[in-house]
Amino acid sequence: MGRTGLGEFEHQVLLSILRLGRESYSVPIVGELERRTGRGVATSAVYIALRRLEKKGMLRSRLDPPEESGELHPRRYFALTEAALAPLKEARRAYLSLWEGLEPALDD
Amino acid sequence: MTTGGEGEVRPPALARAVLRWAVPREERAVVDGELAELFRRRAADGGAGAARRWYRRQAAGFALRAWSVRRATVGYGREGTTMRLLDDVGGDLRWALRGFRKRPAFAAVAVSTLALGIGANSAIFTLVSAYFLEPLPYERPDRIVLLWETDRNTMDVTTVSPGNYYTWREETRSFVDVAAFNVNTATLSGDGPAEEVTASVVAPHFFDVLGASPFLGRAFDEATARETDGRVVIVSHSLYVRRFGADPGVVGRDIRVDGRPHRVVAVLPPSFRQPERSLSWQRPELWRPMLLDERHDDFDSRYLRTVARLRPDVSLEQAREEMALVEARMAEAYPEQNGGRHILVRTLDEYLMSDARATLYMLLAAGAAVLLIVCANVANLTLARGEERRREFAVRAALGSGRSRLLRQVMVEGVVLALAGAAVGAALVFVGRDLLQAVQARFFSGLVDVRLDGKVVLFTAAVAVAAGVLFAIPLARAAAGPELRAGLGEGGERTGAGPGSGATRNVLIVGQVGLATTLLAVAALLARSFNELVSVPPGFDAEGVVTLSLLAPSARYETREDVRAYFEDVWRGLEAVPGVSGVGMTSDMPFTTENRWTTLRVPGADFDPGDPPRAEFHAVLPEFFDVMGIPVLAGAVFRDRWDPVTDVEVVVNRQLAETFWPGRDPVGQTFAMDSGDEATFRVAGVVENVLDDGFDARPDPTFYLPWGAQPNRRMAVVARVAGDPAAVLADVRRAVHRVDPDIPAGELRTLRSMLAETVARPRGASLIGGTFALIALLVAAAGIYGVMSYAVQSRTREIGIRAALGASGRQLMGMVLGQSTRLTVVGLALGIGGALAAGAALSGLLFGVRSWDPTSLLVAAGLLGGVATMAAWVPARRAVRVDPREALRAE
Repeated sequence: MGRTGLGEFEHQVLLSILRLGRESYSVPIVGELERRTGRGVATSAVYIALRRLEKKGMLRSRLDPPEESGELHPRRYFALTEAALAPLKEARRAYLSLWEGLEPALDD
Repeated sequence: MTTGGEGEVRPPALARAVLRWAVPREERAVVDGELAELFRRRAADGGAGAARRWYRRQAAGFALRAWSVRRATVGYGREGTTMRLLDDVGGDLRWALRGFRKRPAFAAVAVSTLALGIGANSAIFTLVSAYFLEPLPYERPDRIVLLWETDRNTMDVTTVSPGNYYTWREETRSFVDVAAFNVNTATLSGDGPAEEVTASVVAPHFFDVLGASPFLGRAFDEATARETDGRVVIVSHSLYVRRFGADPGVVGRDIRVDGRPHRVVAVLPPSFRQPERSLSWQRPELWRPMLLDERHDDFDSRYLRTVARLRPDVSLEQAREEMALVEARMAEAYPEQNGGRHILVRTLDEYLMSDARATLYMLLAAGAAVLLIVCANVANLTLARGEERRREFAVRAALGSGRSRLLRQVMVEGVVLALAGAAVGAALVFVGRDLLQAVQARFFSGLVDVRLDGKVVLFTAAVAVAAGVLFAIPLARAAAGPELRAGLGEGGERTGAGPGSGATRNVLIVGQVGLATTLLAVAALLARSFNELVSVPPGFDAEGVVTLSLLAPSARYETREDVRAYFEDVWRGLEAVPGVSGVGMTSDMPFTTENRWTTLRVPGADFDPGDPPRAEFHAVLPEFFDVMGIPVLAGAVFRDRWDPVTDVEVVVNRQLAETFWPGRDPVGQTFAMDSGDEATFRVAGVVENVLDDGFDARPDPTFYLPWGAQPNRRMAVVARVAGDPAAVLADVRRAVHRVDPDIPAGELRTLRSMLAETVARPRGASLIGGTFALIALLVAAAGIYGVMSYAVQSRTREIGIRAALGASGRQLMGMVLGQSTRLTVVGLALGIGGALAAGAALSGLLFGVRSWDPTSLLVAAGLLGGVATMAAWVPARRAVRVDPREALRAE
């Protein structure tokens, strides 16, 4: 995929953040991913995906230091940018297009 | 097992060390903490063992992907809230600009409207800044006072006699020093074409008192002035540049002033200003020393202005108290010259600013009102647009933009629009800066330079930011409200006036109508007031007359015969000027503040002993009435002119005749001055009342006697001219100079311009008020039109249904206009209330109209009501005309 294209895992990470509704840090993102996909998720993969997506401009992040948040450790929060909308929609369209007509055949 | 504390499970140390190795330093704390959190959850859910195993797998994952992790982490250096904020705001800016590019019409309308409102306020601010924020170009100007004399009875302010000046200088303790000055003209010749400049004759220590230093050279002092017999001059910076090419070598050089060589000793800096407020004088460009040695005991001539500096330990009150004692002493020592005169001590600030202040405050208020109307207008525009952008806000909210982020976005949009409007407005002000300077010179004191400097730019930017935030508030509230979520679900259709934003729009419309009504009413008041003022007949015909004032100084014209000879020569000389058809003289020009009073003995008249009859009087030449076009109502004008007379024939005005001899023929009546003088006056004729004290004063009983009976050193000359009086001014000046080149033709101007100056301030207030009201009317009308168009369009479907159900055009119009009419009426009512309050506040500026003048209120309400109705009617009519089928399809 090109620079603004989405890998499958990146697609899942974006959707998880969207589902969470606001900006999120990696703990709830990992939780959402594992809940929805039904599989364990490598936190390092999430780490890399989040930061790559940020470099692609689809996410923005901010650091929340513990002295401000009152938490035990600093957290890095991620939120979607508008630039993520188009690739997300495109990925969805691509999947749906590929799946079109196949569901009945694969239903069990 | 790795534990710490009572029952606390910790991640395995080795795995943790591997993890920390794999993650770059910038993100180490984050990853460490987040994995620890996940570890604790797993331990809670599945037990410590499972958690540890999971942790080791994660650490291994980071280790195996260490290179990718490092690559992904590049760029996470220092991170401050400021950087983030700047980033975010940068994003907001880009988003705002994108939005304007997509809707250029909206942006253009909003920017133009804002340009008007903000530009108007910038223009006013340049005036306010020049007057109130620029420091006066003197040292410690708050310690400088001006000293005047006044007539105790009339409180007319007059200039000072040399005798009094010397007394004040030598016998008072409140001042560091007192300096006299006066203004006339000088002719420069020799190194360039002959040029007449405004000049000032000043006491040698004048500049010391003011605390003003020259830009080049040294100011003259008493010693220098005496050594050179007064043949030294100081020039202004403008003269230095204009005539001497900014050549510093001019200092020390001789130039010809009034035909005689004078040495230039200094050049003043460009910021120097004479502490003068006269509208008619240009600023002096040349200063000469005044040597009044021989005048120490001249208490008769009054032609000096005086400026003094308070001693550091003396307050204004203390100075006033001392001068009151001096006043009493002088009245006792010189009863004839100083009896009944009061010494007035005024601060420089009060003298220069007091007149301008009231008008400037009014302008500030008007500017604020216009800006509010503009903000309401743009707020309505952005609200309408906000309906269309509801979906956009909803999506942004879904992407994680919190309420505060959305609010900030809307504010940034508003401020960007406002700054663009401010830039256009400031450009307009810059382009019109000459006009501004002219307005300032005509309607204010002309003392200050209007400059478009950093203060103005700062003010404009501040107003823009404030305006941007202000008109963005209604949209921000709508954007951050609960309707957002609904926007996503509905597929983002326009739902017309939602409950919240509809009420806001109504409030804005009412506000606009109200403010515009108030502005219109105030403008109408000012216009009526001005009209009343100039409709008062002055009692003379100002067309085609020039006037000037002359003073025959006692040093060179000691006796009465000397003075008579001088004035007679002037009179003949002026009659010979081509174009002049008549020359008259008077001791006191109408509309000036110099008047003489006396009490009278009127035989046969019945007066209260405690309130004796009083009248003004003037010494005139008989030609005066004809030249001034003052109609003779009865009898005839006397024929005596220069010769002393025993039986004095006088002319009285109508007011005097009606006061002293009501119902009787005044011609032939006699009276005398109550000063012990034996001379009896016989009334030869009656003339129409002349407004001696200005348009807004009532005519007082006045009589005129020949110069021969009341010789005066200071006379005002009037000359009637065929054709344009301005064209003969130069010839008139030359004719006067030919008689005595050392006596300048003072205040030489046309009578029409003299009259215009007296009403310059009310005219200015009326003009400016009218301009603002017009702007307010246009903006409000545009606002109503816009909102009504939008509101009506949103009801297209409803209109279509009703039309299909058989409603008539009239019924539909009534339905549509009903709401706008209600809003307009409420706005008008509020506006009238505001107008009443404003009128009361401005009552000091009004003449001949009540502050609640019903005509002005009706005109304002009627005009705005009419315009508002039209603004609503046009879109309503359009909507009603649409085919019902189209309307039903419209969405």
